[in-house]
Amino acid sequence: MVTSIFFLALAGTIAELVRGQLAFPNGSLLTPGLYEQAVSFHGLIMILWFLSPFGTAFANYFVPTQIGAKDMAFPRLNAMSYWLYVFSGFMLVSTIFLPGGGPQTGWTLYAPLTTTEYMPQPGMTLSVLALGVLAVSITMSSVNFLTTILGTRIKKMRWWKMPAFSWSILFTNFLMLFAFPPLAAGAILLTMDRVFGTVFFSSMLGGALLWTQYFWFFGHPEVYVVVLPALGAIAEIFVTFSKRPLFQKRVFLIEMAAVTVLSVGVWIHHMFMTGIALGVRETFSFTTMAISVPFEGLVIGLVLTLRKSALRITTPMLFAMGALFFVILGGITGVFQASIALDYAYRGTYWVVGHFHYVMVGTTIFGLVAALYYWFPKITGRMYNEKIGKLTFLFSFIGFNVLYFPYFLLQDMPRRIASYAANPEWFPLNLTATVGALIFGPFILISFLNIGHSAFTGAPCEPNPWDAVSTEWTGDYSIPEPDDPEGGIEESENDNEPEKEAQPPPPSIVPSQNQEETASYEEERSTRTYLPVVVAGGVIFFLYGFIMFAPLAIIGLLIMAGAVVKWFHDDYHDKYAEIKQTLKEKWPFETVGKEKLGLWIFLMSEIVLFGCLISGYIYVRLGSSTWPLAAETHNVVIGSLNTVLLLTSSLAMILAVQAAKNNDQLGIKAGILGAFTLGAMFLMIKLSIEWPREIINGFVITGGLAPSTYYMLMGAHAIHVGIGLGGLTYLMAKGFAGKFTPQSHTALELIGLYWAFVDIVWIFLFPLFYLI
Amino acid sequence: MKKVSLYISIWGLMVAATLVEIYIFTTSLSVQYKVVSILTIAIVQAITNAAFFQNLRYEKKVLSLLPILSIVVLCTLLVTAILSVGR
Repeated sequence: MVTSIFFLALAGTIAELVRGQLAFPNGSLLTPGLYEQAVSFHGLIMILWFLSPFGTAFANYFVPTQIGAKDMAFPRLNAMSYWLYVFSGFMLVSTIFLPGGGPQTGWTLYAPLTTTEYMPQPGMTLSVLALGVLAVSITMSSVNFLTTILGTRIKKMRWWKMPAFSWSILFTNFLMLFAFPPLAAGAILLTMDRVFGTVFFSSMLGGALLWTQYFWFFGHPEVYVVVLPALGAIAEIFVTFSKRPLFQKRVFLIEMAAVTVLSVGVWIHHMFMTGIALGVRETFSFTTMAISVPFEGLVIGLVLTLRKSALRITTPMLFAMGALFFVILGGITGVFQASIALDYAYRGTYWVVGHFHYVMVGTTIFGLVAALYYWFPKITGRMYNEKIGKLTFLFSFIGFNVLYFPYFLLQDMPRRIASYAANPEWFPLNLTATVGALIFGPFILISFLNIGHSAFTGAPCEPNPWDAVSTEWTGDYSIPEPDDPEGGIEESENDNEPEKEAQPPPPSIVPSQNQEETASYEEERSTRTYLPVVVAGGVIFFLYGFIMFAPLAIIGLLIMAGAVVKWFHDDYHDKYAEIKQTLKEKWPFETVGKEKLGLWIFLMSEIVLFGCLISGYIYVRLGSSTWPLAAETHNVVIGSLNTVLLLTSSLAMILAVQAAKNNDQLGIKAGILGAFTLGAMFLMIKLSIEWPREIINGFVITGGLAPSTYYMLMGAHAIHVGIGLGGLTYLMAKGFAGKFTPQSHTALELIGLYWAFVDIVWIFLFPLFYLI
Repeated sequence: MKKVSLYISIWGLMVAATLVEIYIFTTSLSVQYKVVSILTIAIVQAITNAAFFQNLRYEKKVLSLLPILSIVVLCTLLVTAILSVGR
């Protein structure tokens, strides 16, 4: 949380500079180049390094607490995700100090502006790599949250009973799982363009449109990734301070699910002006309007929660109501963008800037600042300064509207211009907006200072000062769900009284189910490791070196490899005991351990990643009338041989798992060795026979889109095969030491699953490149 | 032993499916038929691989549907990519 607030301060300061530049028609605070960098950094940092992670910070603390889990499902993965997030942020920010600076493209990084022709500076490449690292970090985080929620809920924490905030995090992480692989795919292709000379985003067949497909397939769901946690927190706050149950909780959650699903089907509305077929645009116009229905349902549900209630006006409640106001205004102005005709008028103007700042900044910052005030006593055991809290809300609210409402009136002013000397009529509204920025920014900062100061000096408070009924406050997981006919917080239509007395103050920690588990948990917690930060650091060193200074890349690689080997070595010696939690809600995963569940979820994200990469290939190939025939460029015999090798390797792997179940040690060794040997043969044939032949025949990576797509997809698959071989090496070490038994062979099963996935990807790549 | 035979049979079927793909590739069918046939076989191969080699057939039905769902997602992405070429 502290890290994300640091990034907020940074991006906020940059925003103040941008507003300073635009306060007067001939602003001279920033040069045009610096202004473009400032706009780009502001957008990227604010959206990706502050807004999303800020919600995730709350989720890290409160999801396990709300659902009665002992911790996140994979604590070390959590640490790894965090460090990759931190380092990727620093990597992005550092580019401003490099020769040529960072990106000057806006946060959308539109092609071909990002190609080396227009942005040759290394800072641009490092920024794209930072995005890729962030996508990896977020995928790790999503796997962790989804496994935690799906697989480690405490007994009796059934689905409908789960608090709204945890539900919002569940939906958010499903979205992240599907939304970030396209960004990663785009980052991979852009990096290849900039480093290896491929032509994905500089060719007429791919180019700007291919990038926008990738970017907005990620970018629109990202809006909901940012907003849903805030809405979940607002729901919790409204319930607490109105003493009313969430209005029609089941309907509310179904609407949230609908928003989640629909949000991945609206991205083309960001591309109405690109000349995509009218039928496609009309379809997406409809889906964009359709998503507003469940979204407004969410808003109405929140409003009706407050009806006939005796509101307690506290700082969190004020910020939450402010967020609700902003989401309504931002939502209404968003519906305009669903119209193709209006989009032509507003796209690229300050109207759109106003709209998304109301949605993303207003709703999310106010919603999550409300959450910070709301959960502050739970986190620290202290109370913040209420007077300062209310005062900061008042001025933040005023400042925000003074800052962003004029944008709706600047609907003819283009975005991303550093001066407007030719249009002095825009001056009064711009000056007003800058004054608003000078109010809003400092008062939000004061809000955080109030919280920070109170963490040390605030008066100690009761464990449940708000008389909240949610599980993270009460520690009572046996409360029936609101719609449960057996009882619970019944919804009453005819009185103003709170339906249920608050639960007695709980202990400040989540009660454990039994002493044995608690002791075990404490013991496991003591098994701390520094390896996640070392691996993440190694990754960043490697990437810096890869772009800037080769020896650094070698150092990074060595650090990374050493840390990974140490990690496997520790695991080999069973250093990391599992966090045991026997009393769980298991449906529908009774037969699945959390490791397997986590791997399945990870493989889902991998499927989306490869789906995006393959889609990119099909996209450019179908647009071409001169694509070389497969038989002319690739050897079908070699491709077929490799297919049989990989299929047989998968068979060997599953036979090894079967042998472990039967305690057949010889079978285990033979299976793993066979899988490894066949996999290694696959890779050797590809790297030492097939690719050299193709390169000699002139099929080189820089030779156009056909080789670009081929080497990109084959390379991505080969890297996965290489990782799988690393896993198989680890299995061989364990297998030959006789460490697999019918009761203990999880690693064998997990790497077997991964190996089967690698096989499945090849099943698609083989016909797409060798036969069709 | 029974399960081992099953896995070997599945492997044999998948190798055979690969050979059928190659055979279709060499026939004089129209490009559309070739593409549809070969990709259909690939999808069936992928589902078979997921269901058997990932041991999903021993899981509950709701879980067994996961690989099918994943492959549907993949195919949806492919179809969307194809549709959006209409530019």
